[in-house]
Amino acid sequence: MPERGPSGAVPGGVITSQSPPFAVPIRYMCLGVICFALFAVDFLVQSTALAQGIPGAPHIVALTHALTLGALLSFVMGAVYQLTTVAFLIPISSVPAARWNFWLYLLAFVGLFVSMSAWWSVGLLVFGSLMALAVYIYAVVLVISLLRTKNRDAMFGFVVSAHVYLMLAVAAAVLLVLVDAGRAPGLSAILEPLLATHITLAVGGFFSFLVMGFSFKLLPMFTLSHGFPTWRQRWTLALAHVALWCILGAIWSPVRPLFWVGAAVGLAAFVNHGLDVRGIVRKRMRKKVESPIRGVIAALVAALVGLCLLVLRLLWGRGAAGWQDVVAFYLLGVVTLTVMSFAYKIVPFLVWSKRYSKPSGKGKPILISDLLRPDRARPVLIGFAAGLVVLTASRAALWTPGVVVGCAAISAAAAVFCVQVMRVMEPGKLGRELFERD
Amino acid sequence: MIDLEAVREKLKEVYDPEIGINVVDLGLIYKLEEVEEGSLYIEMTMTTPGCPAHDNISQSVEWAAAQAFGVAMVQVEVVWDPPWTPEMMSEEAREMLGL
Repeated sequence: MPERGPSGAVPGGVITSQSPPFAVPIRYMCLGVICFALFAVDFLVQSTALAQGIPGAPHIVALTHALTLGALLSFVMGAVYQLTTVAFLIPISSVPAARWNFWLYLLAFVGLFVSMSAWWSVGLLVFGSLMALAVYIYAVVLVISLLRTKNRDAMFGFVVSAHVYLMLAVAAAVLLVLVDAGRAPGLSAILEPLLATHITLAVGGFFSFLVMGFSFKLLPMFTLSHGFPTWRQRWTLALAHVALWCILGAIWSPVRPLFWVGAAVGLAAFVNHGLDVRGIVRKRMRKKVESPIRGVIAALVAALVGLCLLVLRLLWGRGAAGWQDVVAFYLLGVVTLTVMSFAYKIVPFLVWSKRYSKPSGKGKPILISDLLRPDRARPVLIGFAAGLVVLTASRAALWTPGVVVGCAAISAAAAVFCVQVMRVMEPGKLGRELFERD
Repeated sequence: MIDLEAVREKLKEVYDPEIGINVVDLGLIYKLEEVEEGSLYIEMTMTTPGCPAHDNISQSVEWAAAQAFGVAMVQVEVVWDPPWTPEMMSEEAREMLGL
């Protein structure tokens, strides 16, 4: 028998075995996909309420958090636990914390979703606090892990910044819940800017910084790109920070032009990022640009459109409903589309690593594309994007049938996405794997 | 005595799961050496630092090499110097990628 070193640790070479156990990322991703399905159903059910555009209605708030906390954050946490180890060549600082925090997160999410749907103040307070604790544990574990890397490039800056903004967004959410429960009456006058801050930090801070940062690793990896320019990345990071703080400044001060500056600098950041993405795609070795990668590029275009909508919103404000439309467009068109697109590549890889990576020595081995052909993503991502265009245009025109059709297209696309990803995960095999070592 | 050509053939059974091309044709294997009787040393790289298939590929290379006749011990070392470039691929691999 040959001598085998510790798993992946090769004498004198690079330590490659840093990945957490399969159960850690997959349970977060699995919850994320289940919540995508919940969102798909609820989005369709709420489509007429969305057409009426009542910001702050309990069911709409619950629906939004089914997407942000349930689907996106949960999926992203799983992906980040996996990707951080390979992108930065570091282990997770506390795998037990990452493993056990899932149960706290699950409990908090279910309680918070029910509390939001019924607008139950006590539930919001209790489960909101648990959710804040779970998110803080995640963010602290990640930031401590990241601080151990020697690789302090732009991607590091994006990912660390994203998690700092996540903690700030949660802090704002805690204040919102306290105000709602009447525990901080002094803050009730600043409820609106506090809500805007929470949304800006979560969507513009956490999610945007995270998807931009990891794009620098994921896009070259999946397109097999080499020799692309990277000098713009730090500029993009700086511009993104400036844009975010300008918008936050505008929320908290009477200096309205800060919104314009924020939107303009945000546009510059995304244009810069777009040029980087173009550089990566141009230097790719894979001739064909796969559908998931096209989805990521489409999301980048949506970011530019979203920021233009922000400017339009400043010109022709429609009050809180107008803000809701811009945020919904950005959340669905930029963040959700990017996460769904990358999911088509990340989930099959993770499942392949766990179940099919051991060579059998018999016949052609199973490849990642055998689990889910990338072109299967095409109709889903196109349907999702088309639904979003119809929804946004119909909301702007206050045309209810269009809103319902747009919601239906988005729901259908999200539902098909869930079925495709779940088939890769194979729920029959997941059972034991999800609870490994708990 | 290890037949290094036989080892190389065995390593052709190890594929990059994302690209679908074996590690030999991809040019990931830098060095194959019998350091002492029955003991094989393999120096290899990955297409990119931070490749998520690191563990799987290096472990599969170790496993596949161990299947070759006369191999009693395998040591796999992953290095980044020299960094992998597309020029290191075989003609077949280039054709498969449409280059």
